[in-house]
Amino acid sequence: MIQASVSQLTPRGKMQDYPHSRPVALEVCNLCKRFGDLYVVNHVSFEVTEGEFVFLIGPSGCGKTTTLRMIGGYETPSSGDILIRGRSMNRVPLDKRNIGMVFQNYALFPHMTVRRNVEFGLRIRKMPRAERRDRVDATLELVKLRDFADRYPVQLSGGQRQRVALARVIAYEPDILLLDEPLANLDKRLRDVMRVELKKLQEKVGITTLYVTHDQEEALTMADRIIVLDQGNLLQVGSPKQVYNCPKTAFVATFLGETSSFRGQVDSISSDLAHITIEGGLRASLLHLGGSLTVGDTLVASIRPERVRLSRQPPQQQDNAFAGIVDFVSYAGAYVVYIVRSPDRSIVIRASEPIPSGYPSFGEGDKVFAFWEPGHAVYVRE
Amino acid sequence: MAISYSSRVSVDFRGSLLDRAGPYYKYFLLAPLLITILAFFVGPLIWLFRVSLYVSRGASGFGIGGAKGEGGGYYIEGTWTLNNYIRIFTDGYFLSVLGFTIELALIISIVAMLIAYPFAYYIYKSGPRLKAALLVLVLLPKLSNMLVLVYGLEIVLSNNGLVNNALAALHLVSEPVKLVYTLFSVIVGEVLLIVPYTVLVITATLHGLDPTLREAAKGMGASPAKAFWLVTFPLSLPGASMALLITVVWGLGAFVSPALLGNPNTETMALEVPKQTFEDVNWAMGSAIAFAILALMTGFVLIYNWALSSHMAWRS
Repeated sequence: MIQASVSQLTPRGKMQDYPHSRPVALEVCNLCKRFGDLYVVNHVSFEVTEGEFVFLIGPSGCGKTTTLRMIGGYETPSSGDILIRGRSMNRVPLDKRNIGMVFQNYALFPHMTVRRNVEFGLRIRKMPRAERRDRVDATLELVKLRDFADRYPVQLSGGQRQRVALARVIAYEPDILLLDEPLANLDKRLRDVMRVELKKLQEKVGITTLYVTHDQEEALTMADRIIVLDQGNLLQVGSPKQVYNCPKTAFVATFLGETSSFRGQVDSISSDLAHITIEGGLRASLLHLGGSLTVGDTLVASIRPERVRLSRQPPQQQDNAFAGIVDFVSYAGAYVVYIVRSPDRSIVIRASEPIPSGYPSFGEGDKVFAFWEPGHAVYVRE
Repeated sequence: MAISYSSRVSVDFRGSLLDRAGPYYKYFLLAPLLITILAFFVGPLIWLFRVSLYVSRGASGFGIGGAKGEGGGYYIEGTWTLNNYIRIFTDGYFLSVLGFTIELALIISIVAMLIAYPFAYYIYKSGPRLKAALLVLVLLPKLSNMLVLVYGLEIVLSNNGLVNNALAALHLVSEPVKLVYTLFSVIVGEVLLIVPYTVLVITATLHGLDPTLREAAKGMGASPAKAFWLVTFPLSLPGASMALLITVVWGLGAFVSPALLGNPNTETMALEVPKQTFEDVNWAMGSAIAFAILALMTGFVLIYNWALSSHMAWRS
């Protein structure tokens, strides 16, 4: 019996690399939430396919939680459409949506044991008693809380409560799992552990998941796809690698990881590179995909610190390199971050490198050359 | 003439009375209330307890200031006995009064809870302006004197009162229904006096609940009614049981309403105290009854708390 329930919870095939061959689980079309003239969510559209793990990220107040709450039915959209498995949710109250929402504070029922909490959705769905018991056991097994079934929430640690909150909703197999900063209340170490467990669990259960967070590291490590929001607007949708390596806007570039940026003008364009001159005379080549640039455009170039290399010897290349002075050394144990500036301070760049020796190669005030591969810098819209 | 002000304006509290008192200053803050309570409540209470242990002289007349050694006509000085207490719990009359008092307390409590809970829930669910208005409505009776309130009720419920006139106007009754000086009017009066507290306690409890719990319940498929019965209601029980405790304790001491709106059959323990003390001039018996009420309340609170805590393991 238990075996049957577990297999019910794990229907997922290995189709991760072809997301569009799977049916669409959730469709959000021109979703808006407006308070007077203020758009908290401004014409946001995206799709999530079955079994996909999608992150909604952005700073606080970007509209990510409001979007999630509208999908869950906790808030009413001002306009736009939400379709779950092809069915419009506009007139469906939240208790009829078959959605699993995990709250930041977990919202466990304090007067119920772990078992009763996990059973809640199944009772509402009038599942027969024996089947219900097996399903609860299987779900608790899945989150490794089998031995805690008779405890009350107050008797659990933060991480255990978090897992109960998760088990409580995946038990009734909702169409979509909605997670609102589920790890925010845990300490750093536990968060790292739970991140891995949550990702594994999501893959095992194969449940379509929408995850809201402002933690870019969480998004990069766990997501199939990332949706970046700022001030109610959708800025970019893509895989973690796409969004990290090719941010479309300066905001996306800075929100997802560290970056150095400089303003420049396009000199010439070759097949996939645009050559620009940056204020201060530095020449750089940027990857330009899509080819929307023309000679004479001014733009912002952005480069990740880990792509920048430093050396005491002048590099072979003329472009994508400049001579500077190490202004600041920030030692972080496994790696080190240098802030390098040109002598006239017109260019300031961050460079980070792993330090297997345990000791940084450069000190503050050292004269160095900073350089990077052509195409490692990208251009972004402001 | 130039007037110069000191740029430093500082008030030095060092050396004040409070400071010189050192770490004991907080007892100075407590002192007025503490002294009042000790002198005017605890002290008399102890003395009253002593009085309840005297041998009474029976109804021997108004011997205030009687000869020394005669206990002032109320009781025999220097005696010790438990007979007054034994009488309360063996005498048929006192037992019936005791029984009625407990019965009345339970009826009042149940009626008050049945009225207060839905009302409190309605307040909890309403918008901020309606909420404020309803809370004022609840507190309004408490702004007037308890006696005024009960006398008002006496008029409203009288044969020629508002209720009977309304019933007659609607042709529901041909002659006035006897409402006042009945068990009904006693219950109405006591409920009216206690229900504001009940409503306030339950309202506060409901507002203290985490609203995401209801959201979570609904998100898992519970209808609003199910969310209420499975989540909101059970979680409000600790607070509601506190409200019930208050009403029962209040009901056990019911005095005003039985005194003004009752009849000889609605005699309560609290009414027996002045009756014994002043009418029968039996201070010892009056004191014993007062302590019996106190013991009843204390016993109820203790048993109730014990029963509750054993049923709410999830709270710790």
